[in-house]
Amino acid sequence: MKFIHTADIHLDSPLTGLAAYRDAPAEMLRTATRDAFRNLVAAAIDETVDFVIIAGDLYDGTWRDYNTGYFFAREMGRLHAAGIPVFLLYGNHDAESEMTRRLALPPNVRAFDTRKPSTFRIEHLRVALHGRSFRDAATTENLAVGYPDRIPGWLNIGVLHTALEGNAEHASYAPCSLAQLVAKGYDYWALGHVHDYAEVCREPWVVYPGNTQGRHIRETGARGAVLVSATETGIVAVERLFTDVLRWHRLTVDLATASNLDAAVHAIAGRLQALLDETADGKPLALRVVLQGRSTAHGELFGKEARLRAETLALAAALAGERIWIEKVRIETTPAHDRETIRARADAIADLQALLDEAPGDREFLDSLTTELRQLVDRAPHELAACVPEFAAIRSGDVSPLVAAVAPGLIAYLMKTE
Amino acid sequence: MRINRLDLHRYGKFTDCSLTLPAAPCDFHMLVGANEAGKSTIRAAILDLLFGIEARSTYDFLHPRSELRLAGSITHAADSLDFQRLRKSSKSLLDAAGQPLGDDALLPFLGNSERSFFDQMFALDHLRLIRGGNEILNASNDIGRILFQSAAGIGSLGAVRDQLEAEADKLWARRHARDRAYYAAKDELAVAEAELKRATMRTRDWLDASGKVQALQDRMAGLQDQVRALETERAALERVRRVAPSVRAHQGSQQELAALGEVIQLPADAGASLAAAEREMASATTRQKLLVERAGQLQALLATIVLDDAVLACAADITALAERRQQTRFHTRDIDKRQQEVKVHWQDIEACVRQLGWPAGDEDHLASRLPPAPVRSSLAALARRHATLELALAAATDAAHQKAREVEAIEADLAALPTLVISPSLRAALETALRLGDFRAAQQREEGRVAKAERELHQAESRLGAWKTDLSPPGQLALPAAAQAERLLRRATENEAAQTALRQRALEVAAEIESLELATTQFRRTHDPVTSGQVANARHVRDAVWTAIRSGGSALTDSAAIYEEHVETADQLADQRHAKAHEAAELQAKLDDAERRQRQAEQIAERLRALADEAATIDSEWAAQAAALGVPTLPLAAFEGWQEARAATLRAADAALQARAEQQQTADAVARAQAALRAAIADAGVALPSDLEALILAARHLVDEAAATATRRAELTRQLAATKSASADLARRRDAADAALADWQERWQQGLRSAGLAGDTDVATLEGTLKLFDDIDDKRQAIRELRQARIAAMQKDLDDFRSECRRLADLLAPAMVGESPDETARRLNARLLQARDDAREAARLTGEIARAGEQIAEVAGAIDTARAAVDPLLRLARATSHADLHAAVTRSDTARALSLSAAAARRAAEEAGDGLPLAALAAAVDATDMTQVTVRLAEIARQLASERELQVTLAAELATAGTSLARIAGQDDAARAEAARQQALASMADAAERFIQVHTAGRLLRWAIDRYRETRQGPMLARAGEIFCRLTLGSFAKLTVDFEARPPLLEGLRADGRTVGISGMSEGTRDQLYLALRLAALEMHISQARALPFIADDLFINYDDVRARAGIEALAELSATTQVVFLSHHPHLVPAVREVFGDAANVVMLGG
Repeated sequence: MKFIHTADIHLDSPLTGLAAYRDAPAEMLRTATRDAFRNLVAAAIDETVDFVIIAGDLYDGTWRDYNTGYFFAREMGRLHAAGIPVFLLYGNHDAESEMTRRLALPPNVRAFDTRKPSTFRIEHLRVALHGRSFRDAATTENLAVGYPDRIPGWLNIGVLHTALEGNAEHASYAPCSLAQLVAKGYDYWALGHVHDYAEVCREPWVVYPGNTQGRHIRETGARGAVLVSATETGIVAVERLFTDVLRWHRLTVDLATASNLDAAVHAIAGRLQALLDETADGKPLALRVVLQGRSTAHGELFGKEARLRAETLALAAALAGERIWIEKVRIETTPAHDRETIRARADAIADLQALLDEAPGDREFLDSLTTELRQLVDRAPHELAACVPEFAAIRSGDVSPLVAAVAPGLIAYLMKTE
Repeated sequence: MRINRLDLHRYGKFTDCSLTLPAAPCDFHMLVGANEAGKSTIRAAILDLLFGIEARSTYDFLHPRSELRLAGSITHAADSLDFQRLRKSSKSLLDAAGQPLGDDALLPFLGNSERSFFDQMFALDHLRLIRGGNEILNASNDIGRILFQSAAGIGSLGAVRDQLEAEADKLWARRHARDRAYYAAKDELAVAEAELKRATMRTRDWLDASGKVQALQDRMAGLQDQVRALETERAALERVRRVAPSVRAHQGSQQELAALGEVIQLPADAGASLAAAEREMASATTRQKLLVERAGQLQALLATIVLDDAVLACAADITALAERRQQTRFHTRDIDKRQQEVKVHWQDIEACVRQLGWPAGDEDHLASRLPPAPVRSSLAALARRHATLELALAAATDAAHQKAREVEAIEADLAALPTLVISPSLRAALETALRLGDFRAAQQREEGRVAKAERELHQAESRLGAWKTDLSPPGQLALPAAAQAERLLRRATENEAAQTALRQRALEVAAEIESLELATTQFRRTHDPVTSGQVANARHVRDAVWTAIRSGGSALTDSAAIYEEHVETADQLADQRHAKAHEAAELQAKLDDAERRQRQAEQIAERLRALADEAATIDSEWAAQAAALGVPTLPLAAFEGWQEARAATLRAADAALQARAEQQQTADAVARAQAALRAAIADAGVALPSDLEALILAARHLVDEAAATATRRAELTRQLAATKSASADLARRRDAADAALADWQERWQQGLRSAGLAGDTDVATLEGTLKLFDDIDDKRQAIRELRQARIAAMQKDLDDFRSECRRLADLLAPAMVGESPDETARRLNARLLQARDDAREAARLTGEIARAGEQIAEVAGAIDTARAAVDPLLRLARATSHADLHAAVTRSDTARALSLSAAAARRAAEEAGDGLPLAALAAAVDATDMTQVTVRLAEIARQLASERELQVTLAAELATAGTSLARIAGQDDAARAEAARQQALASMADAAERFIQVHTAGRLLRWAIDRYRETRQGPMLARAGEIFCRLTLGSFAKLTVDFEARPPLLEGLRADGRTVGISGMSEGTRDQLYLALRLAALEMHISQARALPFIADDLFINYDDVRARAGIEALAELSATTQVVFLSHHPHLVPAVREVFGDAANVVMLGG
């Protein structure tokens, strides 16, 4: 028998951080999570799986559009037509969503109870699925401990939306330990909540399939579900099944040997080409290009993010057409000349460096700068604060780190000035 | 660090060029060269030598880039390095022996300085000067900026700041503008949010929409039931109202039928059939009577007509006779006319006969006299040929005579030609002379070449000056001597460099000593410390007074006060020394330092003396060597130049010798050619010209003339032979023409005889005779045609017409026999026409009578038919008369009409009765109060209208609700809007992030420049003011700052106390201000850091000589602290340089 284990679909959740630009392949990506889910359903039909498990977070908790639920029901209808049952467990996001309670689902979809652990039996396969949906978003009790005992002679699958213990990156919902899961004696634990694929354990199998589509630069790499092959007596194989329609990638470019902006662009081109050669599957990529290294080009690059981005976009368009979306070009290079070298010049630039060193301690200057920057920050929408880390510092009036960070770039920039 | 030597081995236009920059107290070096002489190349070469040849160097236009090579010698403090620089990205340094040096081999000399820093700080050219001056103007209200960009050697701090601010402004500002990135994204965000709001369907929305649709559907169903009931009732009432008349009519008809009783049913058309039959019988009887009368009248008319059958039988002949009569009507008159024409023709023939001279006769006689046609043709042909034969004979005779005359003329020309012979020696001499070509030009060129070579030799010798030596071969300097001299030269150069460096050091030490002494004096003045010596000295004086007192040398009373004074002084000094122990120690340290410096100065002086001794030794060695070379007074420094000049002199001497030899060879060749030609022409016996050109012309004339005569003779001989041959041919042709004419005469006589003409008849007479013969023939032919074709034919037609007239008259009208044929024919034709009219009338009457008989029979048939139609009705109605029959038909028709009426009423009722049977309809009608039907129907219509209106409203509401519900069908509009919203947010974040960085940088720069001004303006402006004063020749006393202005302004202070702002300064003054600031900054830099050579490239282009000199003086001041390389394309600055630096100034002239 075969089944698909998926989780964290977050239907219609948007991709974030992708600033639009002319000729950007925006249309292609606006329905990425839907497209990924369609891919999942198509794979289930193509693979003629026996059932599908959704281990929580079908929707984004704050997403209100009922069309999303309707779309989900329609896709479930496709599985129903193909005779594939679906076992749906609600996670913290689903618990928050009003769609979860209202949406009428096709008869092939069966949702786990929220009040107590429940078991679905598939008689002809001798498979038992145990699970309990979240009633509330903030479910912090250990749900796993209440799961029923295994049914002997059957393939027992536990479905659970949890962060397990010790996962700092995700909210600690339905916490439990691996030992508690293992102790249940099930053959397979179909987990959800953690967005990265993880094979937590093989004896028994405890698997996070990851989310079906990466949605921002922190979710890089291939995304999808897992295709599990099993017999009544146990799991035979777990394969990854990639459903994403766009892949996030952080492309670091070392500019240690680049002496100017043109050389930097050349280096980016080289890395882009190499990346395209490596990822020959043709999936669109959302790239964050990060320029690193101690470089003589550092000064010339100062304040040239826009131009670098334009040059990188042109490169991307030339090399891969609409396959690449440049999320951001981030300059993290450091100046070729260290502070000591500049000090030894004993010229006006050295004097300026010494003066700039004093800037982060000049209260009057910092206050004046803060006042100016607050004019932007105070008028900005609330959501922007989460995207621009400097906003918090400006709000709190602590701009000296910002000044200290900008000064070396400014010095390098002036050194490059004719 | 300084550069001692720069070798441009392979670089730009240079190949193996070396520049020596010897050290001197004022380390100033002027390199002068015209444009394109390589000044910029040298400037670039210095940078490339020190910091590496650039990967994209443009100085590879002569030597391949990979082979570019520089070398040099540099010194810093006591260290020197001879090295080479290759065009490589690494390991580009080699030592003098070609062994690799580490990439950091220059670090001890250059420190951490890098190329761009050196270029900005230590290199200044005209363009940068101008740009710097302009930037000062641009930044005139920002002293900090002026100071910073002048000090840093960057020209565009304002542009940097503007760029940052412009970039920030493009991203965000308080004012909303669509072209600012942040606001553009914000607008997109607003659009996306609106779209999201529109597209988002909450679960509650779906429930509402779904519920509303259901409720509306339920209401619609109830409404439809009500409408249906009303419609049913209205239909029933409408039916009753509709069928009531028919039902009533049906009932009435039934009652009338019952009242009629038993009725014989006749056909429905019985009445009509009876009436029609009766009308037919009456009409047929009337027509029958009229037709019988008409038949009788026609028979009577037919009996009156008699037919002329005999004429009708011959109708064709009579018609033909009439046509023939028309044809022959004018024949008699025509025959007379033709006879007259025959007569005229005969008269013409008789006239011809008379011209021939023949006697008159009849037609037969004439025919016998005329010669036959063959004879006449033969004579005509002979007459035509006669003229041709005569012309041919005359032409042949003329041509033969002409050709004979030509032969005689050619023979006379040949006899008149002269005889010329050219000797082979003349030909050979001419050939030799011609091979010399333009010997005059060649001789002139060679003369010029000799003169030039001698001039160059003279110049070369003059360059040797007083040091001419033997130029006779071999004339080369022995190699060992040259090498020795070069060694001496190198030693002398190194000695001089070392002396220069030591002198520089001596100056520095002296300055340091002076500075220390001044510091010591000032220190003493300020702190007045007491040294141990002073204390000891005071104590020594005190003790001496005491010793004198104790020894009785002086009276206690007298000396006590003095002793006490000394005791107090010594104690005070001791106290002071104790109190100022720190200052005293410091003073002592200064004194020690001064002493140390003094010792250094002495050591330097000692080393300088040793170097001077060595220089003297070199000079004496060179004096001996120069004497050995034969140039005892030649300075060592001039040796290289002398050696080159000597080699050049030798080359010039060789060239002059060669030129003179070539000139002599040419002169000899000319003389030989002249003698040979003169001898050969003398043999030919022509008058002898003097020079070679005339001899060549004479010889050429002789040769050309002989050749022309020979050619003419050959041509005349060929013409004579051809002309003679042609003359013989022409004589033969003349004889043949003569014979042909004689043959013609004989045949002519025979012809005349055959024609019966006179033997002396000439050709012209014969042609007239033949013409008369032809005319006679033509007339005879015309007479024949008139007689046979015209007159005879007409006569035959007349005869035939007359005979036909007689035949028909005999047959049809014997009475007309004897009348003229023409009258007979006319009357017969009139009779025929009458007979035909009668026959046609008789036929028409016969036809009319037959048709009347047929019509009478038809009318009788019609009467029978009508009667037969009535008979069955009579039998059916059991009637005996038409009147009975009429009554029966009336009853039958009434009964039928009532039945039909009842049936129609039933049908109408049933058709309008919605399928109900008549009985049910009648029952419904009977059961309904008809007076209330209309009232009720109106009521129902009102109710229905109201219900329908409600239905339309509900349908619209349902459609709207349905649409709302249908909008929730899984669309992705909201998802798309949210994606667009996130994109806009990302764009805003991007713009905000960049704005924060760029704005901070701009503000930081402004802040730092303000701080820079605050900390640097004092010392820098003081020193720059001094330099500016010098550069402007005292026009400005110094630079000041107007602190009252906001922001503070930089100004120049005139000697008379007036101030001039930046904008009030001329462009040249601003350039000088920039130069002053740069030099002040450079001095300040050098005082704190390692000094590197200063490269000044064409700085004083726009300066007059006085200002240029001031500029050179400013550089001279700088050259005391660091090496200055001054590149210029103005040779007129050299005297100024020499004035400032003296004759020892190192001025290098670069080749063009």
